[in-house]
Amino acid sequence: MIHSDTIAAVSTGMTSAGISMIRISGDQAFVIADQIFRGPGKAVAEMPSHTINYGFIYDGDRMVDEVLLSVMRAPATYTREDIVEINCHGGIAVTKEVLRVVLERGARLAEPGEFTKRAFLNGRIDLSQAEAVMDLIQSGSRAAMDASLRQLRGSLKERIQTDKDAILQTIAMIEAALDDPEHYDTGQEFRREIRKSVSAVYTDLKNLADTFENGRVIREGIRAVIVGKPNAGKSSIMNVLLGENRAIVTDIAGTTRDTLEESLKMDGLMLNIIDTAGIRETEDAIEQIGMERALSAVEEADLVIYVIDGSVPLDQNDHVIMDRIRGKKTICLINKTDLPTAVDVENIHHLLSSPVLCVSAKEHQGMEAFSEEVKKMFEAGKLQAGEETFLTNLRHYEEICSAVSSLTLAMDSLEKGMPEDFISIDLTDAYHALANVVGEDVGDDLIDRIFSTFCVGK
Amino acid sequence: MEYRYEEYDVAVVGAGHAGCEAALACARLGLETILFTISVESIALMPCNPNIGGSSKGHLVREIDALGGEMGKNIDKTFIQSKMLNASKGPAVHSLRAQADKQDYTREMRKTLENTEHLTVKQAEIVDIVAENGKVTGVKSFTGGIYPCKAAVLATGTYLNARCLCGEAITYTGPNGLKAATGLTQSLQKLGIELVRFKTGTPARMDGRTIDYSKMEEQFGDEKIVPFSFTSDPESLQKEQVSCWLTYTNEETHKVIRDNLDRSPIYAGVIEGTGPRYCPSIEDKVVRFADKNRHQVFIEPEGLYTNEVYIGGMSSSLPEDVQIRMYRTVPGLEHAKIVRNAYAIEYDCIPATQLKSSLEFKAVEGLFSGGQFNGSSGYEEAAAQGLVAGINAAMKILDRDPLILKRSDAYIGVLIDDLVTKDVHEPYRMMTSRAEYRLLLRQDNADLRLTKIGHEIGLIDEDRYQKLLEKERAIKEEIRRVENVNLGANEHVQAFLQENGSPALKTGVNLADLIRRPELNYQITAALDPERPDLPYDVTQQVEIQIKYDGYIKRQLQQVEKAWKMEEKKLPADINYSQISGLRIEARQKLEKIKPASIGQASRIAGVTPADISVLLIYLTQMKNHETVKR
Repeated sequence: MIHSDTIAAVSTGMTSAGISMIRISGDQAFVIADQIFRGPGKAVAEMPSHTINYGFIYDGDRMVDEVLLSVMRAPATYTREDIVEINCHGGIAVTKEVLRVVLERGARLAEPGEFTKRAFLNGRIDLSQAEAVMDLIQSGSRAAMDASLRQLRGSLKERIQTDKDAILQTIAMIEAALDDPEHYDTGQEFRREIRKSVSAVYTDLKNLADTFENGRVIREGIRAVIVGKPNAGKSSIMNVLLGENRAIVTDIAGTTRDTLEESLKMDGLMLNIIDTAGIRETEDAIEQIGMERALSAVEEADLVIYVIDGSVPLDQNDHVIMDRIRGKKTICLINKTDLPTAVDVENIHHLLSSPVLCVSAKEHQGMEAFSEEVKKMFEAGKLQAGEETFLTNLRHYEEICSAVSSLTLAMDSLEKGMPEDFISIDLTDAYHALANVVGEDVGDDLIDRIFSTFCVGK
Repeated sequence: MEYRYEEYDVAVVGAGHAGCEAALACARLGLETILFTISVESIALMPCNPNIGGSSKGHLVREIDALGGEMGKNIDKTFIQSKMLNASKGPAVHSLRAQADKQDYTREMRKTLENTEHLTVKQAEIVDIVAENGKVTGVKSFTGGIYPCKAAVLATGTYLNARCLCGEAITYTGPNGLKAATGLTQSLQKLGIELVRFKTGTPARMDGRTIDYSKMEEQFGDEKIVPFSFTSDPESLQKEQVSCWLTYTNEETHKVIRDNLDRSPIYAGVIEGTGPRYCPSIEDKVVRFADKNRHQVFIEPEGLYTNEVYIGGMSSSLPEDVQIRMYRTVPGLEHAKIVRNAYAIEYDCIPATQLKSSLEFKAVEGLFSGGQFNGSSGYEEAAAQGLVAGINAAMKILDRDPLILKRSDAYIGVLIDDLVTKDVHEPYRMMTSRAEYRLLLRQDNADLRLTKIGHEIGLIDEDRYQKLLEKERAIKEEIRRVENVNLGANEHVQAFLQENGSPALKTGVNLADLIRRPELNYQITAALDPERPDLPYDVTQQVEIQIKYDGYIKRQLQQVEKAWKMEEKKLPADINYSQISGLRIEARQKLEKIKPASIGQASRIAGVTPADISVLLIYLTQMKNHETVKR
């Protein structure tokens, strides 16, 4: 590509400690280095590629520093240009001095992220990585870039890839059935399968999008939410778990009107326990707000601890709660075993298809079984500590939201009984939105943004 | 001895489905055209299945018709059964298929050719393409005649160096024992054209009297026949139809095949050509779908004046003795007698990436090609390309812009774009799933999409064009009217909704909203619409579809718009890809070879990744900025 000039910058932080590195990249890198480097061996231009060479940096006849000089010849370099890296003896003054000498010999001071920009322009890194660099240029902070790069390589990319593949799989099923009706049946079973797969991706992406909205940061620990009817003993359970009287406990139903959060360590596992307001039908506005919060805490929970008052029969409120926690990782605690039992444990187990344990918070009984169960779930991989992936990039968030709304349309079409090929229209949109996030689809907007950020060709 | 024959504007080599369309298009545009065929009896021959249309192929036929081609009209004259496939599914996948009387089909096409002005039919084998300075100047026949021409269209189908295989028995002939064309390959190679070898096959034909139909399911035609051609009057086409029959292979059939695979030329390695994955031989099906214990067998009559029937789904290259045993395991075929054996055919064709989107060779000016020679499979695919190749040969001579249909214009656009862009490793068959914008590319609106283009080219007359404009206007007007029919939540409306199993209204709506409900449609809602005018079916059908699927159509249009941005970014023909350092080596080679016309086309090339595309985009922008600075 077209780059006439050679750039240089201090690639390590400007601190007084250890060793600093000055990187020079471009056609003139070797010429510049030759003018200032003196060593026992060959001239820089003659050195074999990818070698480290001992010597000194000179400014004219004045020695500036004793250095190690790395020589990397194009194209097998980060920028795909000739690169020289000078490792000098740290110290702000010395580092500045070496850089000044380099610049005086014809290099231009690199703009923030310019090495990466060249790497991108020369096809060394892909669009998604380049985008991370844009984040750097815009935020001006190296930490932002690291975070951004890390997530594009890591869990976010993987997660989106998985969802994208699932959508593609569904599209492929539909297309195959269109072209080969002899071998693919498009009956109810087929549609059920499509619905299942689409709604799974929908849920995952929705959750992912929420990480952006809530601004949730990476959290160490399992987010566990205690829910139950008023006065089931949620706060007592929490207190037992915490080993202290943190929450206010009374016999008056509806005392805990907001959510309370505490952290505890249990057999080496970090648990962030959130106590919530009891859930029941009520006219009390303040209590309703508490319940709303409780339910939204459930949505975000890694683990739901559902507390049932075993001394009274299940009622409508319990069924409402069960509906809301369906699909979440749940442990059900039947509390108050110190009183006569009025519930059918087997039936509850059947309704929830989750572990059910009988405990008494008052008598501190059954809590060991609980911590055993949590550990078991964690080891079986059913629980994951904290939110692993989270969205920070606005464009990613927007693409994922657009995928979510396309999937909503697809599910709506399924609901209405539309023929399969209509469903694939919206699935295709969702697919492209995700491909855009991971840089597999070259969206026009992204290119435009990169052009404007990178001042390409100017 | 060589001698100079009289001069023509266009020479078309081959009179199959591609050649006929190409020749007719050129002649109808007023160009002196000569159509060469190895045998006049084999004009528009259907050497394989006796039907036209079917899933996505039916779309092609309607598009051909809307552009002014012949296939639709010819099948309307000669069909013996007609069926709209997938009628229970969405409108995008409805597809028309008609059983043809093969003899009649050939005869009618021949009649049309022979009665077209400016068109000469000539029985001769062309062995040489004469070119000077990379430009076609004529074609030469086996008997020595040189026919000077301004453009030539190659439509040699499966005849180039063809050989037919029935087990160990090999004949060096084209389909049906017709003479193969053996001279042309070398001539093309001399012009720098690369050829490859493809394979396809056909099942046995049987004596219908020896088949026990009582063991099969009868397949009737539709009660109400829909014509292929937009010019055919549906009423005049209603006639008595013949039936097809459905039966299945079984484990016994598959055992006979498996036990004799070593005698199949494909599995024994005798055939080197690549066969079609989507139209596989029964051997292929048994091997590839090992878990399926049966496959469909579709028995189709070959015509009204013959007892021969076509055994659809069981094409094979197994030896004769195995074939008989294999077929006779199928219920209903226990005592069947074979009239013609199944066979595989191998032939020379080209990687169509050597062509521009106009179907002109990049390397030889004035030389066009279409049909199976371009690596496709199927009559309809052939006819579609033949039509485009013919039109573009004419456009070239008339010094007009070539016809290049976009992927969002027509299945024909998808077909040609795929052929000239992608590495096709097997005969290319049109499929619904290949068309990403299929909701827009329906068979019912082919006329609305393409008649204007056909008219511009000059193949659609003024009368037909005016009728189309009138139809367009009527559709638009009726949609507008329906959208303005306001309905209150009154007793009459609620009663109607209840009667039709539709939820009651809470507030007033317009009629279009009701038509969009899954359980309602345009027809049913007539009861709420006293002012409704009496409109022809083809208008109300469009009104219904356009209202009912409005949201989906709009979203698909947005997809087209998005993709179009990439199509609009043109890549100059003289771009030197080896100079663009960011491209990976594989991408460089592919781009160099295919020379895509746009970023959009480049992105569809296998081996060109999104990263390569971003490099190209940046390169283009840099070039543009560079030029701006220079100016």
